[in-house]
Amino acid sequence: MEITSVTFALFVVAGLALWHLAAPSRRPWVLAVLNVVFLASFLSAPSAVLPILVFAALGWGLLHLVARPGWGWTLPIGVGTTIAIFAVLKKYSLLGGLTPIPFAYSTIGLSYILFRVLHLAIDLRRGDLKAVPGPLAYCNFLFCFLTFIAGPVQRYQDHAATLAEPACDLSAAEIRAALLRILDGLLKIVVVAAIASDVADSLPLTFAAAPDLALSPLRHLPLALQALFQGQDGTSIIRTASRLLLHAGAFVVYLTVDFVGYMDIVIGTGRLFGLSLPENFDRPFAAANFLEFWTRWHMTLSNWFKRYVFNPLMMALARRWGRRKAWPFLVVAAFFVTFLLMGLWHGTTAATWVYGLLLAGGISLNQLYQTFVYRPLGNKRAAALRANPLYAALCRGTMAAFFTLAVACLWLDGEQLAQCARAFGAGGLIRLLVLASLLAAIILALWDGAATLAAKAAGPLAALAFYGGFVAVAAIWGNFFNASNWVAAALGIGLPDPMKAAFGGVLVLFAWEIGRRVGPVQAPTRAALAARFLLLLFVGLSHAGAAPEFVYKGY
Amino acid sequence: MLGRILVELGRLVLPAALLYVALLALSLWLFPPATEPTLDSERAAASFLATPPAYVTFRATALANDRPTLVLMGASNVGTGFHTDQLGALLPGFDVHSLVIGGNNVDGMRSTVELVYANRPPAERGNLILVLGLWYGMFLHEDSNLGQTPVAAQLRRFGLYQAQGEGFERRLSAPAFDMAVTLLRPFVLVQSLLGPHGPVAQHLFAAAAEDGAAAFIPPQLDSRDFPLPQAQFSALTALVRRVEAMGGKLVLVDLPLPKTAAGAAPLWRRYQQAKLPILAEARAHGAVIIDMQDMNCDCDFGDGTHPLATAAPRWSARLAAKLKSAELIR
Repeated sequence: MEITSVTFALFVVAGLALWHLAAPSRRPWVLAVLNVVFLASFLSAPSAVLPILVFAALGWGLLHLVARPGWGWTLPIGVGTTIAIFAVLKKYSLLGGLTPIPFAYSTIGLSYILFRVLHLAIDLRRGDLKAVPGPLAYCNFLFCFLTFIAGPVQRYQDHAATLAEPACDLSAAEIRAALLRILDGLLKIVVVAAIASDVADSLPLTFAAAPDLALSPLRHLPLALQALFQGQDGTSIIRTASRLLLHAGAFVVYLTVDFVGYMDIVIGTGRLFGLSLPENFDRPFAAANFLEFWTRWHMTLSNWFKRYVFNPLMMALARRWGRRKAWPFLVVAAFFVTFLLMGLWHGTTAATWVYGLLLAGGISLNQLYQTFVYRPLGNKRAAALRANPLYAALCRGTMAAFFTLAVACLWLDGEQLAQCARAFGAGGLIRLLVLASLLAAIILALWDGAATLAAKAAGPLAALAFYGGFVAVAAIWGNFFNASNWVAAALGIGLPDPMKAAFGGVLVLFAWEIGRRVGPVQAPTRAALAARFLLLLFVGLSHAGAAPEFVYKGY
Repeated sequence: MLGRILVELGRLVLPAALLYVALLALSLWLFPPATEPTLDSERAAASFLATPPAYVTFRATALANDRPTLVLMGASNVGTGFHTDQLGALLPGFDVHSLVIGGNNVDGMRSTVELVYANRPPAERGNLILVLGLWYGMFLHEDSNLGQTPVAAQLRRFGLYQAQGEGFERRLSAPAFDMAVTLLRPFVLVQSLLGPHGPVAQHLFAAAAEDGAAAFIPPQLDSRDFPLPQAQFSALTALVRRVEAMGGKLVLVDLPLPKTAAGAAPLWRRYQQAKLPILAEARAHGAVIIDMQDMNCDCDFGDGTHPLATAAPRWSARLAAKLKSAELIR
């Protein structure tokens, strides 16, 4: 059951009826029924769910072991065993395709189940959780349909609290605000993320083949620029470089908007049930550096790793090498391990090892930079440096570019990564990062400047950008009045349609950015809601089949 | 709170539902349901589906039968060169469909072939002939990207088809599919009305359309010259093998171009060399190759690529004769 589907909408409406009609004491059972239906919708056969159920049952057994007085020693063994079983079920390539289960099974949501089981076990051991949850509460926590596929990663304590006292007395205005959030989430996925995904798909990359500029507008670039990126045989690969940058940029926009849209839908839906879910994104590309980025991107995942990996590791390292001078290096080491693990969690292939190493390397370099550049400067001068607009823009650009290029490991496989490394070489990759950083710095600065200006006239400009953006998208998708051909004639080059539609997508994103700066809409009017719904139906859904599957569904 | 939620949902859905019903009625009034048993993408502009890719994709259930069928595929020069009525008259007993999409390259034709397979049952492919028109302009693309062809984009819309292996499958039976397409009319009505061939554009740009009518224009020499990229040649080889595996007879027609202009183009000359091993391999995998390059009198062309309507009967006659001599049609 795709979260953008009509089936899911009907499922939610039916679920809301059951939930609100049920006596409060029966609501956990209603949630359990909804969870079963939701999970079953992803299964090809009843047996496909068995490994997940066994995994959950083993987790429950672990909780009982850990909770027994004097049995705390079982925690490290249990955690290790749980992770090992998880790796086998997920078929990590490191294990050489070891698959002891002789039938096809689902691993959907397994990564998040792992987080929840480990969190419960560790909290029980630490005393943050007083008792093992009952079977119903445990299953509702592990399989809650709102957070099952991609989070947010909610703590059990918060989950239990909101389930015990759901806010089931929302006003009409609050209900409309929840509906607006759901509709905006849907529009983000079926329009903006779909365009970004289409743009990425329209730029296939071939690192192995000889580059050919004959048909590319880049052939008009000065030779000095063409020579900026050269392949092993000395020919220009600027076309491959530009495609890689565009593809990576489009993929990051897709990843971000798709994920943010997904969160809008589940958080908005949760509100209609009276359930409170934590926010997961806070304008990640507004971060000043890579360290801050991770406090804004997939925040609940970052918090989980901070609480259950970074902090314990830091304490262990401090106990072992606790001298003051060693402290900065211990932080770097703890960051490195934490982000390596976070990267590895993202997949089972060799490419995710590279991703983990890049994340770990990037965060470590950022920490070392802070230690060796800011500290010698002193607080006052460091603050002045950080406040310098040019410096701040370059830092943001580097952060965004590094993340964008690192995330390429999620859409390039190991062989393609190797081809890419061979084609560009170390120097070429560094030039690519520098160029991407400069471009990102300029784009982010322009975006911020324009949004700040536009926010002063928020109402009309945001509305113009929002509806104008959708009209532009619809005009290209539907080729109204031959719009697609006119754009091509005006530009003088034959761009793929997704790139032309991207202009409208950017306008829509810009409208949301203006709206965010002005502040959240507390009580949207019914007319605004109806307009959103019509846009969804007549612009979004006409292209909805083209919206790719939710990127995090595989986890 | 349930009551408040339902009231708000009702207020949200009701205007859209009323608008939907009104648009459905308007669409049925403006574009009555088609009755032609065969497809001709030249008729797309007059249908509610507005564009050739949408027209062929959402009317493709016309291929879901057991009648002997010939399907024309390729770029616009196939559409102007082969008229379904003329070809149909030369091939009695055959349903002749034109699934031509302007600007198609080999990837585009591959998507159209997959569309045919999604609708034609495997048991009924013995009497299926797929005719693909080739010319050098199809092979200039440096990439092969099956996911971005116009038909592939339509196949992903609305969720009526789903990816299945290398191709697609239709998710509903033919009658249910046609009903679903009817129910989707409101979603494409705006496109039908405002699209480049819709009534509004026809009204606004009628004069321009008349100016653009086919007439003899001295073809310009395509003077570009560079090594032909291999991507679309490889795509053609893959297409040939796909048809060999999936069923149906494949016919590759090497289309003519006007002799003194396009025929002298450097890229055309490169194409003459590059195509030889590809066509030889295609022949080895069961494809029939029809060479029509001798029909290249400048007087038969409206521009550097497209034949005039006066040449179309001779194109159809040549194709029909070759199909019969190859014993694809008896």
